[in-house]
Amino acid sequence: MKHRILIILAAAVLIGCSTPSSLTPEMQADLVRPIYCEGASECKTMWKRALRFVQLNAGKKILKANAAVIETRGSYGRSKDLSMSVTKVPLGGGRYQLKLLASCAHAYGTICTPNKEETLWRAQLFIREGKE
Amino acid sequence: MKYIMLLTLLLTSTAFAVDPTLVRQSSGTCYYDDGSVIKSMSCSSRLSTGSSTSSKPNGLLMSDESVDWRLNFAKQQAGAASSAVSLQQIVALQQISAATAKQRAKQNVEKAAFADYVSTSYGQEGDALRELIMSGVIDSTNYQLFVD
Repeated sequence: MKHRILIILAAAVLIGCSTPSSLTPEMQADLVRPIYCEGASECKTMWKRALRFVQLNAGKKILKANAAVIETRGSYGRSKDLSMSVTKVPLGGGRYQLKLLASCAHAYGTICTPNKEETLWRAQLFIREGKE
Repeated sequence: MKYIMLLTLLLTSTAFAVDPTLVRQSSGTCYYDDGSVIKSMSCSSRLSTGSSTSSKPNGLLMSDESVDWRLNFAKQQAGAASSAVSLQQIVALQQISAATAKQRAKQNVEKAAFADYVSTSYGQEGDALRELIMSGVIDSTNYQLFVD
């Protein structure tokens, strides 16, 4: 019984501390939709956009950019600076999935600079459609 | 029993470790490395706790002679150590620094030339890569992944 109360209290504290998402339900649905590319031309276009987006929007400088991964420096300590990575995962038959990650070292991921969810949503849109 | 032995060992080792060591002996005076000065014709190599000293470095009760000796001794030690090490270190560091600066300057010239080439060849798209080329993230091995 004591454990249940503690769990409920911990959950209430966590919920109370978290910032409400700035994304609409439609945007949140977009966020979980995977990014795929097919063929050399489309994959190159998306890969170029991924580099451009990370270069201009991540809170950290790019550390690595090759055919499989684009990643920034890590976020350490109490840094709110958003670090990002994009990974190109081969699915076979010239098809790839582009996986996006963003994080900051700060205890509450919701107060990264720039905002994590919003940045990931914008990255998806830009990589897929070239729209900012 | 085990704890008594352990405690005894700890206390004796601590006492031995802090005993001042004889540094210099001249005309009936013994100088120890903690600044203690004893008037005695025969000096023991270590000054055990409770010895009768003419001047013990005991906080505010240090004698002038003891303070002077401690100061000179420390100066000699520090001076000898720093002059011997620092000269070698300065020369080595200067050499490393000069070589590194030269190499970095050469690399920067090469990177700038490459960034100019990419910018000229691929226009705005190439120019956007300048910062990444200068930081070393993009070079001749991977730039084609990001331009058409």
